[in-house]
Formats: sequence, structure tokens, C-alpha cells
Amino acid sequence: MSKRRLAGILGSCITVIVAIVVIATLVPGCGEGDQNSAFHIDVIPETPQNIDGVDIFKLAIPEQCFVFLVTITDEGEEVELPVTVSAEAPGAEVIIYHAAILEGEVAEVVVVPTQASVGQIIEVTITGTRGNVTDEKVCRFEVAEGEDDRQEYAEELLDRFVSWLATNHSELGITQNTAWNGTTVSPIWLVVSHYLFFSEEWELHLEWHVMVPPHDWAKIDLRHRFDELAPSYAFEISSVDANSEPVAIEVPETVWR
Amino acid sequence: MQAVGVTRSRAGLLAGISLLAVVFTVALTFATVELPRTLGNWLANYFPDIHPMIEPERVAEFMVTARPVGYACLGIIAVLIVVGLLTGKRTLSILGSFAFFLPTFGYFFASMFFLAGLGILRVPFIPFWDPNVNLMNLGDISYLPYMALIYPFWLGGIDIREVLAWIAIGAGLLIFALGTIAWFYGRAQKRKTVDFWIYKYTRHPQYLGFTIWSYGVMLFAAQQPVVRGGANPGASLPWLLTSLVVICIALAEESRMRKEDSERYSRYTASAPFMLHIPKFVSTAITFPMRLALKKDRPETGKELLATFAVYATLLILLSLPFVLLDWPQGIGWSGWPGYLPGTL
Repeated sequence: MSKRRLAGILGSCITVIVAIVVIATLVPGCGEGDQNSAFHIDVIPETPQNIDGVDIFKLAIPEQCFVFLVTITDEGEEVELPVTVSAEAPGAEVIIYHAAILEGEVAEVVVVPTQASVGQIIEVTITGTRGNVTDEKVCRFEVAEGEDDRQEYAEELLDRFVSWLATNHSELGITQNTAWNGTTVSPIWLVVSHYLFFSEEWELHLEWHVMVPPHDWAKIDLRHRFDELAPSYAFEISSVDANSEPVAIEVPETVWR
Repeated sequence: MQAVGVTRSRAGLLAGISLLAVVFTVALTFATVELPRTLGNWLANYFPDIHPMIEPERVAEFMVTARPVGYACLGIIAVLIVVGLLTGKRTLSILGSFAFFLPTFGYFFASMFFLAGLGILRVPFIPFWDPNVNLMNLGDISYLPYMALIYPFWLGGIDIREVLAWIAIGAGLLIFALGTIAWFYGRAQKRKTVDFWIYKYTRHPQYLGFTIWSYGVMLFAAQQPVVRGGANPGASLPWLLTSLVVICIALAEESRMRKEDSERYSRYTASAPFMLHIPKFVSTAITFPMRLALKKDRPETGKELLATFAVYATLLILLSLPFVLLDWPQGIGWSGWPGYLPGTL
């Protein structure tokens, strides 16, 4: 075979492959052209809630992580360019996880009020931006006096659920080595206590009934962070004191805040 | 009496060899799946998992280093393969093709970040693994036999996906072992052409074994579940290109054998198929592009081998294009295809 013929064959092949790559790159991107497509953002929880004409604010205590879930809805065709979520909350620290979201994804805006904010209303302005288009939501919650006195027992209960999940629901990817960060939630609720734990993948809401056996139940529900807005699994220990095995229960329709 | 003794010793030899091949096959089948997992856990100490959504800046920082390394690795692999084919230095091509396939084992390690743990092996795949367009799927035509085999069973409510991968891995290794044993036995007898035992059924049992084994590994890689929100693009393109290189190496060896042992080897090629026995019209159709490009029946020089590789790689990538354009299978890709078994939901 002459060098010229080989060059001809290789040249043709390379041209075809380059064309294939270009087509493969461009065609799925045809709908992505508009960087300024309209969208709106949604935030949960809604706070304050207007009940009978009265604004009811959710409460948090200093150092508690108040976690807002942010989603977007494209107003035209679904767009493959993400919306970047940002937030401001004077008087509190703000951390954002998974700030660039597409429709169907979830960003988490974590607002941590300081001790100095006790008695005040924290105003959180959450903004979504894509190209020149922005949308904004404002939420407010109240900071109450208090401290987290539930962590130790919550972690004890968490261990019981986690060791059971690691054995019985390995498909969730939760193991004994999974790291969890906890925060109190609903600090004024007394008979039923609540706590939130976050692993890299999961939000775990733990609640337990502060009651004598056999009414000392504990429950968890699990939300897959960043692509779920509501829990997808829930389990219950009917009596903590009686060492009951966890069982699957009906999954709550909304996250707890 | 002597004839009976010879027959017995020959039967004993065959039984011993078969047993050796089976032990080799079982051990390597197990090692194929288990070693990557063990190695992955160890490598996770050096390449820890990073959650791309929680720490995108750490991922970006890692990719600044990993990206050029990936391109450099791919460049070296391509040079090894091309130089090996052009110069007839088989070792270079084999090394290049194996290095191109090796990252497939990275799929056996579940992680959020695709380069964590054993996933670091996938560095050479970075040029194909673009978030906007997945060039890894440009070999998806390779899944046709897989689709044809599993789909009828799936319709009947039987899931043979994993079983098929295991069978391919085991069968590939068995063929490879039988080929290697026969080849060593032939060498010990100072034969120029090994044409007995498994060589009666395929002229390249080792390459056939490698191709079937790697197909099983590729299927396993594609079937690995992904963490939620992630994706598994599979490794069809590396398998496709690796297999093409292996076929080209086999063609180069045939060319050399024809020169060294012309008459006997020609008689042998008339009695044993190149890789597998396929109907004449199918082999005619398969070899048509090569005959069209080379204007002859088979490649003989390094240049002709390179041209053959380029023509078939281009054709097969072209045939895979519909999978990419249609983004098929949709959802989580091949790890979820064809979906839940009918009647299980």
C-alpha cells in the first residue's frame, strides 16, 4: 500500500470521526442555546405561613442549621443550563450546597443564626440566576432563646437505625462508616423531639416520642439530597426501650422543618 | 499393549490439561471481579471520594491535574497501538490495547466522584467522558449481541444480565487457558504451526478468549449500579477499539505465519475459522469494507493493518452514533436496561 493511499484512508476516517464527534456534541445541545430562558424558583419550607391573616414564623435557636430546599421550574422548554442559587441572610451565616441546579435538582441553602440574633427575625433572600434572568424568594424565620440538648440521645438513636440500615438496606449505600452532621430542628416541640442528620447523600429526619414504654417510638425518614424534595423511605422502632426491630412505615409527604 | 499405554497416557495428559484449564478459569474469573474491589478499597486511601455537588471546587481542583494526565495517557496508548501495528511489534500493540481496556475495572468501584478509589484508573477515559456529550457511548453497537441474548429472556420474566457477564468472563478465560496450554505444548514439540486441540476450532484462541473475557468485563462495568444522581456511561468504546486492535494483531500474526510456514499454514486456515465459525455470507459482508479499502483479501503490511483498523473503527463508531443521538437507553443507561422485569412491579 502506498503512503498516499494510506494517508487517504486515514484522512477520510479521521474526517468522519471528527464529524461524528461534532454531531454528537451539537445535536443534544440544540435545546440549550438560550442562556436567558425564564424560570422561577420555589423554596421550602414556606416561612412565614399566613394562617387566618396572621404570619406564623418558624423558629430556630442560635447555631441551629435552618435548611431551605430550593428548586427551579423552567417556564418554557426544559433547559440544560443550570440556574445558580445564591442567598443572603443578615445576622446569620449562609452555606449553599449544590448551588447550580437544573429542573429536578435540589439546592440546599443552610442558614445558621448567631447568638446575637436571638429575638430577631432573620430575613433570607434566595436568588436564582441564569444568564440575565433572575428570580428571588424571601423567607423569614424567628430566632428564639435556647440550646441544643438533644444531640446525645439523637445520635444514640441514629446509631441504632444506621446499623440496621447498613445490614438490611445496603442498596441505600449507608454503612456504619457513613459520616453524619446533625442539627436540632423544631426546638419548641417537646413531646415529640426532632433532629436532622445529613450525610453526603442523605438527609435523615429523626423523631422520637418522649414517653414511657411501650409508647417510646422512634422514626426516621430519608430524603436523597440534591434530587429529592420529599422523603423516599421511612422506618420506625415501635419501642426503643423494648429494642424493637425497625420496620418500614408510610413515607411522609413532606420534609420536616 | 504399547498402543493402549500411549492412548492412556494421552488421555491422562488431556485430562490433566483440562483440569488445569478449569482451575485457571475459576481462579481468574473470581479474581476478575474480586481483585478490583480489594484494590479499589486500598486506592481509596490515596484517591478519596469527593461529592461533586457538595465540593465542586475540590473536584475542579483535582481535574486541573487529572485532565492533562488523562490526555497524556491516552496519547501514549494511541502511540503504542499505532507504532505496534505499523512496525509489526506485537508487544507494543498488546500493551497499548490492554492499557486502553484496563480502566474498565474502575467501574467496579462505586463512588460519587468517578476518579475516586479504583476509579482513578479511568484517567485515560477523561477525553471521552465529557459532561455535555458522552463519547464513551460511541461503541454502543457492541451491545447488540447482549441485547439480542437478554431481551427474549427478559420478556419471559428471566433476568440473565449478570449471568451472561459471568458466562462471558468464564468462557473467555477457559478458551484463553486452553489456547495457551495447546500453544505451549505445540512449542514443546517444536511445531511451527499449532493446529490441534482448541486450535482446530479457532486459529486464535488466546485472542478470542481475551475478546470474550473483556466483553464480559465490559458488560459487568455497564451493569454496575450508580449512586443516585450519577450516571454510568459504560465502557463500550474502549472495548470496541481494544478488540479491533486484538483482531489486527491476529491478522498480523497470520501474515507472518503465511510467510514462515506457507503451505502447512494455508492448509490449516482452510480447515479452522479465524476466530469463530460464521456463515460464509456473513464473513463476506464483514470483510467487504477491508477488501474495498485494500483491494485485496487480507492486510499484510503494517500500513494495511493500520488502514484496516481505521476503516472498521470508523464504521463501528458510525453505527454507534444513533445510540448517542437518541440518548439511548434513556434514564440511567445500560445499568438499568431493559428495566424492571415484566410482572415484578
